[in-house]
Amino acid sequence: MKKTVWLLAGGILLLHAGLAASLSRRVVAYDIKARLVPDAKSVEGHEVLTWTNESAEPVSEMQFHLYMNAFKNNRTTFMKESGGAHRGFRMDKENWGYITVGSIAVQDGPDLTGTITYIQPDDGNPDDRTVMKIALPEPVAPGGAVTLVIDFVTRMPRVFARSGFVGDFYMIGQWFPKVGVFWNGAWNCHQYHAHSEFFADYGSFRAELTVPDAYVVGATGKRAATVKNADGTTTYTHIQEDVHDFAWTACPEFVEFREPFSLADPPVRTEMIFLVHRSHVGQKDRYVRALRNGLEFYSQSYGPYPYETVTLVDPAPGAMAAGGMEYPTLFTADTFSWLPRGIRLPEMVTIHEFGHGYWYGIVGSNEFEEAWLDEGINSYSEAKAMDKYYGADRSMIDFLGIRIGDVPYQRLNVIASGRFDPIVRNSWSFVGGSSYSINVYQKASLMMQTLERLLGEDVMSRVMKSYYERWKFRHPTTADFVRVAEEASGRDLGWFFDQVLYSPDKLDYGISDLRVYELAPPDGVFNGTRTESAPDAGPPGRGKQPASPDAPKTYRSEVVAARFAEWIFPQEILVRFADGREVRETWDGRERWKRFVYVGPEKAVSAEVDPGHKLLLDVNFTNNSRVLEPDGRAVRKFALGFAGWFQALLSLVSL
Amino acid sequence: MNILAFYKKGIREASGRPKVVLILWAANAVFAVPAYVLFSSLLASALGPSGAAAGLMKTADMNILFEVLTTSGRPFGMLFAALLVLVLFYFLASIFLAGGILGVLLDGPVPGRTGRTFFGSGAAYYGRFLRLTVYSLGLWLPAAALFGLASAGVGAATAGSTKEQLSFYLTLALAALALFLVFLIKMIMDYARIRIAAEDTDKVLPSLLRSVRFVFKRPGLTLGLYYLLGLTGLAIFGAWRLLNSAIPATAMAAVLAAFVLAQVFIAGRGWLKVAYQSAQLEVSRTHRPEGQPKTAEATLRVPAPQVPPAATEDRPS
Repeated sequence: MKKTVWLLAGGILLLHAGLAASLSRRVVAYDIKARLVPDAKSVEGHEVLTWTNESAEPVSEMQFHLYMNAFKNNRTTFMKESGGAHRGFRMDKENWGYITVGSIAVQDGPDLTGTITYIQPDDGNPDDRTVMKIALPEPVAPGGAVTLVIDFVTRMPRVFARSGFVGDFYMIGQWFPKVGVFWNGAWNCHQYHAHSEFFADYGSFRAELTVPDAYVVGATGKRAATVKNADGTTTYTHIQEDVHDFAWTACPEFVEFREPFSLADPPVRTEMIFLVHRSHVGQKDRYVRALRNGLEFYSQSYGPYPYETVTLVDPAPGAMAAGGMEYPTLFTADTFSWLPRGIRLPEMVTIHEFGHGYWYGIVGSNEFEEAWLDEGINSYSEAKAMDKYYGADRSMIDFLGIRIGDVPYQRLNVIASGRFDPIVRNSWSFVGGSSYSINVYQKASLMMQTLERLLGEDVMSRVMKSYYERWKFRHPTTADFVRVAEEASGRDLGWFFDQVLYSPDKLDYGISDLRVYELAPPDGVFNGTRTESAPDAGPPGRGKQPASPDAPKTYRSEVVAARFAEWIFPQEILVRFADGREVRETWDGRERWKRFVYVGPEKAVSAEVDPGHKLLLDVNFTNNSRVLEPDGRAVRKFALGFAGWFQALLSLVSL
Repeated sequence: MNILAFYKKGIREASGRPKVVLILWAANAVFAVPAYVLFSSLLASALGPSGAAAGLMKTADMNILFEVLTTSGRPFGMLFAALLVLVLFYFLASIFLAGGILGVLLDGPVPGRTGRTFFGSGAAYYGRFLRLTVYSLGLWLPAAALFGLASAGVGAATAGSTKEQLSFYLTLALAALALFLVFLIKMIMDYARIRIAAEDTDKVLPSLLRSVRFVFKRPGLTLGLYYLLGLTGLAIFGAWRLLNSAIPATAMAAVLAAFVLAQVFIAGRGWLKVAYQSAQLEVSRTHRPEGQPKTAEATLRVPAPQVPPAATEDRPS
């Protein structure tokens, strides 16, 4: 008995130690051997996958993503939805991409290749083969595991929608059979859509990547071994735990730089690896500074960066379609060798894509169904970081006297958008690509910034840290975010999220009227008695004349605040008077309008709703305020400046 | 005379023609007035009685500016279309102005006659200069074709290439080629106009062809002079932007100062235009047209410095 107790205690200790070392519940364990075959533009792979059933029910079938099949022909769901173009780049129809599963078997068990079927859970498109289903010989019991051995060949497309080759540059993402997520009692394994990204389970990855000697390789995780082979190839072994995907890149033209990064509070120690294409080496310092900024900002704002490496991949010229994409511990940036420093594209992309490592990588959001949890929260984080390090009024562009900040740029997209979709919606259900991106990126980011201004920076910081801490290495939903926000802020935020997340409408409050009347002295019949103004008050009916020029004047000032759009937000209204006095009013914003009346010796000279511009979601700041006497100076300033440039143009086109 | 001497001569002549510069500035300003009026009324309408306007005086709030562009996109689009039409009219007017400049330069320094000569010459040469502009399509089209060929070549050489620097430098070279062609044709047109005015001839097309030959026979001189004057223009532009950046336009007085500075720049452009014409006129005079004896003074008119000449058939009035 005593021995049993000791064994039990030891077992618990070991289990605890194992869990303590593990950041996530490791559902998957991949061991992949991959060989790049440049002549065939393909990768030959051998995958050993162990999948653990973390659910409470037996699982008798498995579903896999075969993402690369999205580029197999022009009838796939991706190609139909995208029309063969993605982010402005067209699919090269001479270089289709696809993945062929040669065999799949239970390790030391039966071959399951014959059970393969392709399913289309989202749209029933029979030409789409991006989701593969296999039947298991026997169900995997709760807590049990199954190990599968898969042989596959992935033919890379010419770079399109994040992956592929250009010349001898390869970005190899979404390239191996990746098991879906068994979630809430069912497989969550969506097809590859034009306007969607990814979702997968955490675990450990080990990959042996064999390439011709000349190639420089970067990959998810840290490098465990480098072996030169007799056949003129080199095998690089990369290992990473507690991630949910694995991507890699290879190109002989990469120049590799490694720099350490450390932070005292919170404690962070990692290695920054830069794989910069030879053409862009002059831009390297921009990448380095931006990644340092990103590491510092995200670690301090949300939680310490937990991995030992972070790799920035700079795609080759002509491979921009592979740029601006995130994978665990590795991301692709974008730049041009000639790009002026005042145009902060590489900085923005670097911080943004690194940031995905938090909101897609560490917090495992389901980008198929609730993409804003990654894209929106990350766009909000990116804007804050860019503003902090590069200046709020010039964080995007500071070039030739033109200054544009990240936030106004995000807001521009929202104010120009339609009312088609809410933020929360399946990614493939948006009316189009721009509606998807405006809602899940910019509108969601403005929502977060508006929330921050409503709650205050400290409270918002608490919300974000709590959310990150609670949901890191797990799969949250929108409801989980709302729950954390309400708990951490101590406020009921249902009114806010219900409107902004689930309604396609807009927010627009303003001042619709500002009027001032001079009150005349009493004139006419009051209580049966005729009361007259003073003799100099003028004829009846023109009672606005004061009784005497020296008599104090009284004004009635009327301010009408109005709601021009659908969303209902409480409003603060600031009214200023001629003597400099200020009055602040509040309004619940429910009715279409509300009138405020002031009677006194001073005129109201201006009125403004949301004077602090807290509500960044408001699509029209211009109508937020109204003044009694419009100030024409700014108009003259801009018109004179415009006229000067127009004159310069005229002098240029003249003979 | 070398390039520098022609350059100095042009600069000196332009500096001695303030009235011409004034007329050029005024013509430019007249065309800019509608742009000012339309733009200011459109912006005033977009801002309405908003208090945001006061903020714009201090900082260019991109939130507000983006809103204005978004909510008033169509009116602004119409404004820019209207301004394009205005630019076309100005181009046509500049044909008149070019005649005016040449008339005054050919007339020599005659006190009290500048305005009369300018407008008289502008009118007298207008038809011929307009025809010349139409005929110049014969130069523009081959130039466009040449540029198209070069562009296609660069496209083919860089398609699918991962050599970004090569693409970048080839694109720069393309831009340089485009500028070179534009400047070359503009310069040939200058010499053709000078020839037409100086010889007071109706033979527009032969004048153009002879100017082509004239330029191609002495490319170093003509191009060198043209680019030297171009550099002067670039320096004037740089000075304008530099001085302008030193004016913090947050008060109306500073805004007006910036506007006055812009007007000085526009006047500087006019001055440079006169300098171009004057220097190139001098080149034409020094290098007589082919087939003409060097002593044949009548071939190219020279200024009559002191005595106001009587109106003759070959002189615009």
